[in-house]
Amino acid sequence: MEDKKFNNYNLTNDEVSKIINNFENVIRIHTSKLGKYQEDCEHEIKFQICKALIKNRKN
Amino acid sequence: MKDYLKDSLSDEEKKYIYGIIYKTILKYQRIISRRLEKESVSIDDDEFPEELLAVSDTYNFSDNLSELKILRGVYALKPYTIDEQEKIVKILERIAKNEGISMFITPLTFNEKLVVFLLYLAKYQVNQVATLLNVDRRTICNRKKSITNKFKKIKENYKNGR
Repeated sequence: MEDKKFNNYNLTNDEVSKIINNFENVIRIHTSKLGKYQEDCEHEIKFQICKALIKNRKN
Repeated sequence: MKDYLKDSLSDEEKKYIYGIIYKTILKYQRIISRRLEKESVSIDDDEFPEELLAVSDTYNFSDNLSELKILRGVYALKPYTIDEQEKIVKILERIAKNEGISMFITPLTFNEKLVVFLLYLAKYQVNQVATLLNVDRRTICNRKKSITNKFKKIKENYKNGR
């Protein structure tokens, strides 16, 4: 059965950027306790979100 | 097809994003704790007053039940409350007064006193102290540096007869 979320995980780069920007604050708040690892973790989260949202994109 | 440049996310989609965030943070916390376990934190005692080191070597918490109560087991570390921190500072000040090393302890700030107590008297490791005070490990190292500088200054003043 097709998953309806995120247009079946086939979003454009602009859409992914917009979603990540909307969650920017949430990500920063939740990673603030990680100290020197905060920046790395923020990048990793953004990367994972991006990977998830375009996982069914053909090109 | 939903246009995500205009439309907002559904609850299910928000939950999905939050899931990714929490999962990645958990993964990172596991990596960090694994790294901290491997790192052995060495404490350089050279700048520390011998009097304080002598106290830290000989002081026995089990002689005093109220002092023993404030210590946490290393397997169940949870941050101290403000009340508990105040109690710790009072205990340290009392010990300093009894052992005749008040001149080293009095000039320290509240936070520095906490670090002296937990690091040198209670013999916790730097990462454990960081957990107990709910701060970053780097903060503890900075406080330790500041404490060492203050001690150095006090010792010099004593040497010069000031």
